[in-house]
Amino acid sequence: MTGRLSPRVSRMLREIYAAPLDPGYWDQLQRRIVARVATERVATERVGTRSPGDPWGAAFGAWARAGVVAAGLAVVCAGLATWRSRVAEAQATQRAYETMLTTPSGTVWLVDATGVSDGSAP
Amino acid sequence: MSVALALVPGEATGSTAAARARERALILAAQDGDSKAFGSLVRLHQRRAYAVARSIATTHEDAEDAVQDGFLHAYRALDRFLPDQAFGAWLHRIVANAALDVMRRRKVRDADALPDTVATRFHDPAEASDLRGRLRAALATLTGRQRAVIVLHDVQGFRHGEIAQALGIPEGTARSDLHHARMALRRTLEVVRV
Repeated sequence: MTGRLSPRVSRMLREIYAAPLDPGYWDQLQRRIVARVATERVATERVGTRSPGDPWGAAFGAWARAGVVAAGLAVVCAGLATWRSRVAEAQATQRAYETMLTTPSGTVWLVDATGVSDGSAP
Repeated sequence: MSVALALVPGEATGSTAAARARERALILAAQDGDSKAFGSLVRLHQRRAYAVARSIATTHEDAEDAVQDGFLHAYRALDRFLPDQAFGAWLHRIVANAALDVMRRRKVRDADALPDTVATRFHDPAEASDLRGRLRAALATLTGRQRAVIVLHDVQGFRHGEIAQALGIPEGTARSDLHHARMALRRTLEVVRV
């Protein structure tokens, strides 16, 4: 393992990356963070989603999310099923039509020029 | 009565049992919705959180943004935190990720702003001639992770395990990054000196 950097370089590094020394700075930073958290808390309470002090809201928020996901899946499944049944119906109609066109409707008797049949089936 | 009012907030004092018990009480109270308790947690951890953010961010302002974002993310995820875990390690990981996000946003902003502004950074010849300027130049040659590791270890005094947890890398990788970062700094400083 490489040893530490020279004391001079280490000191310079510490100067470059030094945290603010003024205690007032940290008080202010703490206040800003707490204010942002409070804003977040008010916003989540306003829309009825979870907040740490609101276990009922947390439970309903979770169920609401699950419900939205389930409803979305149900809509997708219903759409898919409708589409597949329509495709199957169209295919069946097409097959029936093709069958009607290609299948002979009955026995065709051979008839010679005199119009008399030899009596044999084709 | 709020837990936070019953305690005297101070800086993190290490891993003593009393400090851990105090911290655990604050976490439980914060999870129960006590905003003062969360404020006390902020006070306990904000300096170390800043150190983590500063090791990744290139400026003090970005580090400060990352600390605020990190605490906000931690607050949102607080109900998923198990109080017997190490809160500091958990928080540092969140702050490190917040700092990486800030840096990504900064890159996008800088890229967007490039056509309208001067593309190259101004280099003060006087600064470049002294050790601080050379050191800044040498730091710029390191990868982001190497820079974070060397700053956290050699400047902020984090242990390898703590660095590994904060950055989400194996401890061996943290050691190896530190080794390579020191080598690269020495090499660059020597080359510039010639």
